[in-house]
Amino acid sequence: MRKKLLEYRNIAAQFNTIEGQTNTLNDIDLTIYEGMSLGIVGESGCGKSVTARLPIRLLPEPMFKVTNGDVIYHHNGEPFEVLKAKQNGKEINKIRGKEISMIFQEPMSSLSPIHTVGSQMIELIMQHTDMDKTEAKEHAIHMLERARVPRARDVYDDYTFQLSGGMRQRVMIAMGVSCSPRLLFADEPTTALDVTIQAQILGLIKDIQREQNMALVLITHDLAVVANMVEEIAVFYLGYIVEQGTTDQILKSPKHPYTKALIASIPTLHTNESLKPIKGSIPDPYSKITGCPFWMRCDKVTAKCREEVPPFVTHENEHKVRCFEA
Amino acid sequence: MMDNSTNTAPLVEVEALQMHFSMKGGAFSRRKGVIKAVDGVNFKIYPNETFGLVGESGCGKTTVGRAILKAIQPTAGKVIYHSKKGEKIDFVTMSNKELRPYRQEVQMIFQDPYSSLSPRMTVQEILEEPLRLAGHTDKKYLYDQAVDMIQQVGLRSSHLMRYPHAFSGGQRQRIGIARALITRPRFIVADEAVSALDVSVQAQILEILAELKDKLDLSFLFISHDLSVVKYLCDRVGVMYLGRIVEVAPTESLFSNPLHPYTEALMHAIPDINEREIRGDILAGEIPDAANPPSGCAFHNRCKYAKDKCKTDVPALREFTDTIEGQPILRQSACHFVEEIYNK
Repeated sequence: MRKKLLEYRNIAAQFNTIEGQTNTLNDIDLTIYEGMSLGIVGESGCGKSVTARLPIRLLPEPMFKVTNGDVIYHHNGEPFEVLKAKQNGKEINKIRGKEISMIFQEPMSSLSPIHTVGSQMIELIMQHTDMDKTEAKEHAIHMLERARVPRARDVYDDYTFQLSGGMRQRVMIAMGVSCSPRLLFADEPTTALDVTIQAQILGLIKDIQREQNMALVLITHDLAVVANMVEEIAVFYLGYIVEQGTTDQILKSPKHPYTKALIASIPTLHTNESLKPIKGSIPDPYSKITGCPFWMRCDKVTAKCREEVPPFVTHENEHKVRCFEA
Repeated sequence: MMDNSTNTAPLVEVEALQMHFSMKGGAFSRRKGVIKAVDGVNFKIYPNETFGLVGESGCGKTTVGRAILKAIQPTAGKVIYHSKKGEKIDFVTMSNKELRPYRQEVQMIFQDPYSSLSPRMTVQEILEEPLRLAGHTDKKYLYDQAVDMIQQVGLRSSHLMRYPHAFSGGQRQRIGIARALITRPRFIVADEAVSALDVSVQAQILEILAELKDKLDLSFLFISHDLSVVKYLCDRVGVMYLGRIVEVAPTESLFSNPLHPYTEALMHAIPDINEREIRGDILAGEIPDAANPPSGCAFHNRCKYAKDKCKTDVPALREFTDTIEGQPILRQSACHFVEEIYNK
């Protein structure tokens, strides 16, 4: 029996801005188990990054508001209601960076340009552990070495702007896993990198996940990136999870028209099939859509799809789909 | 597929193109020297051909595109263009004034559909501007051309009155394409033209480019870091590494049978939707600093086949013949050991 680590229970959330209101997350029901790897896949505006930032409360409140549901973090067997805690209170600070950690797409904007790699790392380590400064330094260097940073001892004293893009991402990973988190969110960790560096970084994340037995949530727009990285995939569209299942279920026998269309619209190296683009474009986030979020781009649309949001139905082998026609 | 071997005269010939940037040591810079962003690049593009230029960041692919259109002045080399009237001219030695009559024939599509369209101009003004610059003044003609072009890229004439902010990224990229095509060019440089788009929209733009290429008889230099996109769209592909072309081949043979270790490694690194295991031998190391490139073959410090010769001698781009469906095709590789590694 898998042990629950983090649960999203029927989350609905909005951003309220001057330009209007967006329904950023709708009916998000998702459970992350200990040690599992999950891919969250979707295009821009689908809510994938918001989902990752919610359990560590990194979103700008009160502009961002959860209107329904709970997020439960299972901390030493005790359920902790993340949304009931104060945004930057003690309880959240104990989890953020220690129990749940995160690596971002842009290492340059998430690392400090005015502190050395080492000073940023020991600050984090000393906050979350009992180590003194010397121990923290040795631990930081050890973590850099595990992230395969060459000359880790020198890099420890470097500033982040002195490093290449791939090296910065290694530093971020070393920092992200330095307090042995139980769950790591990786939000587009390789999108800004070249393909050969991307392959190195993905391999590194996978190795560290296996070694530390931590849960991994890999967020990306690129289905091919998650294919060999995760056991399960959740496909997001306009703030809804439209399909969820094992990697093979999603990539080999997708049931939702959006997932099918997404797979058919990616040019691949190993097949010669022609592309089948999805018609139209992703609707503006401020527009109010009734019914299924995908109906205006869907080939199988019926009258019902325009009026009702389809329920998230579990099919055989825990394959979940939000579509009337599936 | 384009026959690149004989008969047809090329449209654009790039010869020994070189773009060296000198670094001046300023107050905050510890470095002086020359960055060889593009160091002796040769290739030809034939009529109605899409030539892809791929490589990782810093390899010089964008600089090649910009130097061909003279957005920057190359430090050496030739860009021979065979004009509509049949003249053979060298862009590099011409002044901007001399070039102006030919600007209509060569155009550019940019990466970022957000920053490449002026927010203060309507779509109609954006589309008409290249024609105005070319000396057209008849309002009826300008409008008709704009309507025709906006429809060709799959938008409607009612869109002409709107400003760019009213459009999505994919629609903006269509407007960028329409602007590039409105002067009826023969040659287009498209630099990462679909990289900023969501995958579902990217496929639409790729289809439009492929369709318009044949309909309007266009030739493309398609610059991209994304090999899958290049494979879909291009007839021939050149692979760049650190300012040089390391391999050129028709797309099919490049992807089925690479003749350079870097191309091989690059393709091996691309994630595949059908794979479930992490691959073992991924190319190690990073792209070297262009200000301080490795001696000999620039790829030798990352190459699994490297031998002593690779550390000292710069390999030349040599020609090889391959066969596809019984037809001989020409391809090039800049590796000392093509014969040994790939049994050529």
